[in-house]
Amino acid sequence: MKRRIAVYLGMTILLLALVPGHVLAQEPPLVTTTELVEHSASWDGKTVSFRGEVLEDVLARSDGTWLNLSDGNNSAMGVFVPRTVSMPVISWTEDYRTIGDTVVVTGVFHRACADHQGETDIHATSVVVVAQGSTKDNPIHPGRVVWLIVLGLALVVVMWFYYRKPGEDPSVRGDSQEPRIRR
Amino acid sequence: MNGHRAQSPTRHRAGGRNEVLGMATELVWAGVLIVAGYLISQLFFIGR
Amino acid sequence: MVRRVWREDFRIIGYYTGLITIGVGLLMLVPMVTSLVFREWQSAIDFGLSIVLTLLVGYLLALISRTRNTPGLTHAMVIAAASWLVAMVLSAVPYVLSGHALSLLDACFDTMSGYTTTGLFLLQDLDHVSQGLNMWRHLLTYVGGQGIVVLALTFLIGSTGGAYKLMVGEGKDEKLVPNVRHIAVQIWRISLIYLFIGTAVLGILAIASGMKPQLAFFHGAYIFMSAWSTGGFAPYSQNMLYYHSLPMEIVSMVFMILGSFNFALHYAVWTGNRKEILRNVEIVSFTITVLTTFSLTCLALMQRGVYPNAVALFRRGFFQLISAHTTTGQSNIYARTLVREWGPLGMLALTIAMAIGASAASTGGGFKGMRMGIIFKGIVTDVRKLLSPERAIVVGHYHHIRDNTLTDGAVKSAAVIVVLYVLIYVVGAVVGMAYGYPMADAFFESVSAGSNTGLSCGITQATMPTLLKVMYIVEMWMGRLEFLSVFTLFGFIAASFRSLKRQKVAA
Repeated sequence: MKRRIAVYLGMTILLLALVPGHVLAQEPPLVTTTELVEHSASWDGKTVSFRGEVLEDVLARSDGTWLNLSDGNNSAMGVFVPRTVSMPVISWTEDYRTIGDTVVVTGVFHRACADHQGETDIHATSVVVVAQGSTKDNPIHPGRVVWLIVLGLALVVVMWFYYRKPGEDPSVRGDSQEPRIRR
Repeated sequence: MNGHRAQSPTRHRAGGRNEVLGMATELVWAGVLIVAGYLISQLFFIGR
Repeated sequence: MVRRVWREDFRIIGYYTGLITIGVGLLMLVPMVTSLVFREWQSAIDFGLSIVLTLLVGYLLALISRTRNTPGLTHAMVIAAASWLVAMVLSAVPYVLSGHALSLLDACFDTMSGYTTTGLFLLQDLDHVSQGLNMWRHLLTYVGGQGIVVLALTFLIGSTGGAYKLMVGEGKDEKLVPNVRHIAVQIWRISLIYLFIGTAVLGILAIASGMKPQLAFFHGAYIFMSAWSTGGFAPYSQNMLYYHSLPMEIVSMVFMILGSFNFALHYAVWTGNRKEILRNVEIVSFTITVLTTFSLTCLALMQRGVYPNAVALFRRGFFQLISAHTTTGQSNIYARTLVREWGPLGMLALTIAMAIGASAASTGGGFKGMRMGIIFKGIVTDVRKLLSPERAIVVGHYHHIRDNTLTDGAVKSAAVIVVLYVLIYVVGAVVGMAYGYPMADAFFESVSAGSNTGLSCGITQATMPTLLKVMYIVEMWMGRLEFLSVFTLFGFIAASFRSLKRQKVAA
């Protein structure tokens, strides 16, 4: 009897080990904006994971919140977080002086969302902050300040010459031999 | 800025009332065009 | 070019180009202050440096070429074309300093795109630029829409004779009122009043859609400037998708439509002649072509089942169509969606709308409604002539502010310019196809550049071939100045060389 149980247990474990991972643990694939837009038809309606930096404006509406997540150079996706899904606290958003929180959302991708009049969006089922934002370093280049001063002085000199004497008109003085423009 | 008003005929005057009505006319017209677009979209979905 | 070029000609051109350059430098104060307000110190310094450099170039040019003579028509055209190029390069300096442009060429692409109110861009990482730089981008289209020239007219030039010609050089040849200063003032007046209203309304809608108040009105201003100038820039790479707001898109559409009007029409409607809006040939033409191309768009979208319901079809389809036809270039879909979902017929519908474009003497591009109306009426009149008895005199008319006779000259001019537009559209498309892009994509992008629309189907990237970048810059420039100014510039340069040679031989 014990041997039979052991055999059945062994077979079960063997079977489980052979079954491919994605059947057992349904991890939504991590996708990029480019991937979603280029293959919108095949991703339409599928559950995906999306990771990006939270851009400046977190737009709270009556039925949920819109996040814009940047995942690359000129690449960002709109994510709608319905009221029923818990929103974590977003401490940092993108700005000239700050880097926004990095967030991973899991949700359903819509090629042309019927709820949002055809918008290409992700309706989140979970939102997790995976990295905190921070302040950004925008160092002042001393070289540019120097140029600013140097060119500024040159400008003052040129302007002084320009506004100097209203009567001083070189086009009247030496060019009387050249024909006037007939209009 | 409106120093040349005297040159224009009475009806065509850059006056406040005309400007407001003019703006309203333009806005209404744009609105009508947008509504027309909306109606056309509806038309394409009739019967679906 | 028929006549010879004298030193005085260079003076006139140099002087007025210098003055316009000074205007551009002063304009940069706005983004600099914006950066200071948002405590973007490096950005503020970058703009400060750009201002100083631009003013230096402008004052030097004006100082060297100072003259009392006012420009003739030819000068005006050359000044318009030349100052556009000078402004393009100097305005690119803030872009280069910001580190968001991969090269000076890319930065010039963006500034040419801004001034011509196109809206294509090569800027890297738009989602992380400073408020100052975003203000500068949008300001470029707002000012470019009015023409750098009119800006200079308003603030820098006192005389009227030369000023009128400077404007004609720009492509705005509407005779609104005899006094040219008055024209410039009226254009600015209308634009500023709508700027105030638009910023307020869009700002309030932005707050309602969840944006912080201190940012909302900046966005309101950006979107307004983008729509009214039919420019098409937006502060984020998602363009209008960023806001997820149907009300904001509708308001933007309203300003796109109004921005596409002929300024003479604005003036007429604003000074009591409100019926004009129903009788004007350009409005009639626009209405017909908008509804027709939209129907074609719907057909294409329905055939491919792109949108699930009528509202979606309207919100995405109509917005894109209006954006295309007014040559704005704002978008509430991704660029590649046009290729991946809309397909060739949908793209063709938008391409046709872009090609036709907005009204004459407006911020828009394309063939212009006036020419569509004139050519159409020309065809109708010709048919009537054929069908009438030989001795009958058949004369066509078109209504623009007043009833105008349809002269053979008017039809010919309209047709010539349309052919020139078609030429640049085709050449741009051919260059694109030579680099391997599909025909629908290549035509779409080329027409977008040449009509100063700015919708992209994905070709415009920093990685695109250099020749294609240059091609689109040339298309944007020529399209905005409606060719004549550019041809005059080339003719002037050619004539200068000939004159120089003659002087050398004579000496």
